[in-house]
Amino acid sequence: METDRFSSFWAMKWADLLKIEERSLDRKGVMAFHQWLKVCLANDTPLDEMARQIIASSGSTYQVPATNFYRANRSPAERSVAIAQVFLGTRLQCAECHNHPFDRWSQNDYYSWAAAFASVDYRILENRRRDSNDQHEFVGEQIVFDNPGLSVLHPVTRKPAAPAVLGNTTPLPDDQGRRRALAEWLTSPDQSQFAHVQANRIWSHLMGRGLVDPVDDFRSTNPASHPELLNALTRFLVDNHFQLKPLIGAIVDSHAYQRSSMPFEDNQMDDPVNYARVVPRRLTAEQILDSLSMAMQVPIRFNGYAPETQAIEIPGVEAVRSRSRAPSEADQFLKLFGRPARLLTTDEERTCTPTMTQAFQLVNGPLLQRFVAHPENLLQQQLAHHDNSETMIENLFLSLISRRPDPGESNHFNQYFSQASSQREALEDIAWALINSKEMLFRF
Amino acid sequence: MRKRNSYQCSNFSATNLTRRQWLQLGGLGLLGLNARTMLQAQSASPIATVPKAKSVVFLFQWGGPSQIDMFDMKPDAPSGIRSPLSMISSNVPGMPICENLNRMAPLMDKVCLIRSLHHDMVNHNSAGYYALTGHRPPVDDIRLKDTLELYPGYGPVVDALAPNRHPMPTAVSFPYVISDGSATPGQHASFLGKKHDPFLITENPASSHFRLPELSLPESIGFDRLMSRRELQKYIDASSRALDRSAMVSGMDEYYDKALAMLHSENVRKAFDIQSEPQAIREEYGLTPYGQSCLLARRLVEAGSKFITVYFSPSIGGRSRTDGGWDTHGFSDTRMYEIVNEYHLPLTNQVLPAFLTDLDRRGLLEETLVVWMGEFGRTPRINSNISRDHWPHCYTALLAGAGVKSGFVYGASDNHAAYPAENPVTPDDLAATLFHLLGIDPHTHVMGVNNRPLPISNGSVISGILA
Repeated sequence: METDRFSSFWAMKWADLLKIEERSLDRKGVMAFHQWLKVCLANDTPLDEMARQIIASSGSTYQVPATNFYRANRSPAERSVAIAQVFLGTRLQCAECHNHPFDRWSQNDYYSWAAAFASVDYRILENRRRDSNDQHEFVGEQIVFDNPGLSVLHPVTRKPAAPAVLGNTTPLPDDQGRRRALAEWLTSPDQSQFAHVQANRIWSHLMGRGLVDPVDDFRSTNPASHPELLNALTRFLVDNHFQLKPLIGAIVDSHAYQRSSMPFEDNQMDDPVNYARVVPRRLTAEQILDSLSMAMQVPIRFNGYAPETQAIEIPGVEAVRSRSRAPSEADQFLKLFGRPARLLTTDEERTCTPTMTQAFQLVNGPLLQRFVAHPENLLQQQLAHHDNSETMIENLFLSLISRRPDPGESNHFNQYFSQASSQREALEDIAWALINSKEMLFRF
Repeated sequence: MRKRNSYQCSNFSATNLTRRQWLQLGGLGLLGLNARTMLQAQSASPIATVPKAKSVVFLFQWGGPSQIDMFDMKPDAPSGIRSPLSMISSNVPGMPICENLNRMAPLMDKVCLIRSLHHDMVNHNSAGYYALTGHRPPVDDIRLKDTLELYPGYGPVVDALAPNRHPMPTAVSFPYVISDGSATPGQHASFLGKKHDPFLITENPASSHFRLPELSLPESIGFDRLMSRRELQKYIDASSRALDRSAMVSGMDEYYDKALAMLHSENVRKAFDIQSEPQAIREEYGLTPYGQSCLLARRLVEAGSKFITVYFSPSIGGRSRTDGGWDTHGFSDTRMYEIVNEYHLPLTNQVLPAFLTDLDRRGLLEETLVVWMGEFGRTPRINSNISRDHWPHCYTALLAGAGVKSGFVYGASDNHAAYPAENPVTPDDLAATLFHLLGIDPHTHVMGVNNRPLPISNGSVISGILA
């Protein structure tokens, strides 16, 4: 947990939720916001503190990185829906137009909550957007500030909605302190929703499924599968000052986390709800690409980044617009394997479901071919340094799927090797098979 | 009813579940059934009718071709509105066409024109999305954001609800990804998931090097070597066989099998092997990207693809006499008629008749629906550049083939081809009609982001055009 990869990985998860992408934030803003996240996560800044900083943020999008949240969410509706979804695990989208069909939120609740974020305004110091027609593109510094003159009209009454916190009619102060008050309310000890949502999201990232699932859809009609467990996790998170690392440590130490993915007699079916066994998940796009590049010792290039940059370290989505330069093979790979465009504040935008195009990419895609056929890759090093096939094959197994071949596999693959007309080609075939194996692509 | 201001959930009012049904769904949640499974159950069999069309070929005319200069001419309109081009009669009385489309004249008895298509999106990307999905976008935005809240294109919906059971891909799009400043939404599977994305080809079928990267193995790797690799892979996977009980893991295996089947399938390889087409036929279509794309579309229809989208051009164009789309404003001191007379109309006059004729003589027109349309038409009034600007308020779609009347005009525009005068049709209605003809119930619900049930179409089947 003290590694750079740890904070990079969790920063990536948060960046997905916080819409960290270049079109709205510009490159500098993306770097600033992402770096802020990384430092927070490396220092284990309490999550409630992070939330307060984001919600109450004001100032330059370059100097106060958290203001980029507002830079990316430019209307009261977007802001209020995003805050509810990310921090309160509540989906309000339906209530914009009608009382929520599955939940208690009414249209009045929605507009009062949206009004709470109405005052955010922008001083656009410069906008060097390259596409003058694109109202979503901003290049240059902006100042986020409160403009008390702004309001949200209730569509029925046609009057400005009275700002209030979600589910409470007590009016909020309408001065500069409103967002500070909102932040305090959202993270206050008697507002347990925030803690529940954060504990559940951490559990979900580690276990593959939230106790409340989807993680941003808390409501009485979608109860937790194990409410006592969720309460215990929440208590643990609160007792540990909303710090991520202690809770991750506790979950990783648990029997639940360490279960095998192998089914028993009596749980043959997929049963993700009870965590009786680990349900296999495809690795994220970044994980697959980085591990293949590292294992095969073939470098990858992303447009706009230094050669040694790993996928997991990329702060944004598209550093160089695809209009001005075609995405690199590695950029295309990430998109194909489900790296989100980060236009929505939901965990669902990132996908790890296999597709046909992914299969083609792994069967004979250009990047795959480069990993396997590169003249100085892992295979070449094996051929240069070893002369017995058992060692070479064992090293391929260890590099790619972190285990030794069992005796049967060892036999089979060594035989394959000895019968091949070209040693290099035999190793390429074995590497291909390991890269395409389920143990490589799935975690379980 | 048609007008929807709401951004987030524009289709809630159009869902055809009653309040009572919704309450039942909510209540069942407590019993372990949630709305998703219920709705999946409800739409378990989206094939509601016997499909009239086995395939649809959607010829998308990016940039917006002019209704009043092509299939809805108004020679009696005042100068400044009527086309400077002349009108000629076709083999169907009442279906005259532009002189520059004379090769269509003997084919109009195969065609169904809808002259009252209309909507209110004046920007290319918003209008393009509307045309490609049949769903009105939340905003009319020149750079409409391509988020997962927007609808999938037609092909992905067909792929999700009525997929092929053989190796040919259900939905195929080519030969470009279209954009206007930013990629036009509506070209992929959006919230249906990437697995339903169309099989996308961005190689030029007119090129002598045309080949699909997915279906091409490096020289050193023949299919046999690939199969031995697959055997090795299976050998490793045998030690984790228990994982196959997970639907996701076994799903990946299915994709490998499908990918290898496609690589190995004679039918698939042949379908894409456009070089094997007799030279005479290639020349009938013309050796242009658009012409050869239509020829490729015919080959894919024969091989069994269900929804084939051909894009006329990658960009809206309008200033070039050698490439680009139909967006002829007269910008940069260009002139619309000089451009369309030299490029767009002759190209259309070659490709569209060649395509319809070829389908017809092979008996494919009976089971294939061809749709030719842009994202909007062009202004009835000729502008100061002697050109025309965007006009979504009334324009023409041309249909031909399976399930629709032929030699038939549906709807009418007013005297200036400016607004529908009778039987107005929206892209929603056209979408409902396409799904219906493919045998898919247009009221089928699919699940959007955040598990919101969304109907694949909010329109009504245009029963007046059904054969």
